[in-house]
Amino acid sequence: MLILACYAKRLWPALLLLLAACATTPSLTAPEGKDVSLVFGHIDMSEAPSDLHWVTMQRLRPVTDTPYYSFWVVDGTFFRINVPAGTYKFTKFGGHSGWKNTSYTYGFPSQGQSKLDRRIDRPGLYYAGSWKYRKVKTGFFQTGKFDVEASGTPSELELLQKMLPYADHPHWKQMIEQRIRELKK
Amino acid sequence: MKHVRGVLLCLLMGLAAAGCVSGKPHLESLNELQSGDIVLVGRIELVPPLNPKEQQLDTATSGRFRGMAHALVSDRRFDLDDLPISAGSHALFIELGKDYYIRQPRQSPLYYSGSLILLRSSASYSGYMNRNVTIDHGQIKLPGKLKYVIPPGARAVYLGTLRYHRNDYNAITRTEYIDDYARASREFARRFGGRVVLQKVSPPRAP
Repeated sequence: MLILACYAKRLWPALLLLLAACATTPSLTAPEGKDVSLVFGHIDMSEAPSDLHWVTMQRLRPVTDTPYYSFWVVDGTFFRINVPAGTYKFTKFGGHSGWKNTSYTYGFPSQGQSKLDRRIDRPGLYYAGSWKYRKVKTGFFQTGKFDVEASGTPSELELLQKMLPYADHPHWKQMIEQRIRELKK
Repeated sequence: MKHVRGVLLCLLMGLAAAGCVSGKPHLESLNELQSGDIVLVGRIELVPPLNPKEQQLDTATSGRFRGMAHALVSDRRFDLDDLPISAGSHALFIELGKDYYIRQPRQSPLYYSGSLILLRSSASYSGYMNRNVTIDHGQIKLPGKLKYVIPPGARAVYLGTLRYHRNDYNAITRTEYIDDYARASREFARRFGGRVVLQKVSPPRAP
């Protein structure tokens, strides 16, 4: 046991390095094209059985071969760049519960416009809102259900400030800073 | 909003609930008709029509649902949001935008509870040795709640064209009933001969 503990102590820094390498740090890099946007929002998962690890959005119009867009997620805040003009629908989000060792996927209805869905007409910043996960009561043998309610917190301004350190390219940095100035007026 | 967990059993049930089960196939010949059977003729259209790229059908046999719909036509009424697993045996498996010819036991009245179009069916694997399989599905629901009174003695009945208009989010914004009996009758005679006459039923009513 003692030998194992010694090995574990020696391996600990290496394990940390490995974990750090696996994690991806968001980076708002150079825009791919002129007419692309930044989409962002927040989901408070404090009432959910898991945290928020990923969010997926689908481009409905124009129809494309590669319709799915994934987001960076930092503490419930999701954001991504290089979103071209079109009609978009948030399809799924998910996360992991460490103590249950279970991954969860939460699906939005595939038909109709949900509260988060946006139409992107011009390049810019698109705020999908700040939402709170709410569990909907169902029967014992029924599939679990959820809803998202507008929470208003964190505000759009707070989310922009949170994203700003990741804006490595001046295109996005200027865009975020300009919007921050507008919101502070 | 649905909260889907990666449990295969639940998702298989979900697939069944989505109508992704076998439906009654097309009639190829009137010889298939048994005494007590009738032929249902009609059409379901989606406007704008479904682009093949809109259907992400990646699981084993889901490719056969491309451009197809399950229409629930039966002597029973169903709630599209709460379908029993047995609903599949009441479904007609039809191609969107084309006439259907389906054999059905004679029942009157017949209820059209709506249709389901499979939009997405994909599988993802996780866990040790990929033991956990998650099947994700999504569908467009076409509302129904219509009642057809079948004339006594009829062998083939025309149910009309149901044209569903949708928006970019696949929400149904308008439904039209179109009487295209003259064309459908000509096509029926060309396909099956004049042995059985296609009869027009009254326009559908709400049950």
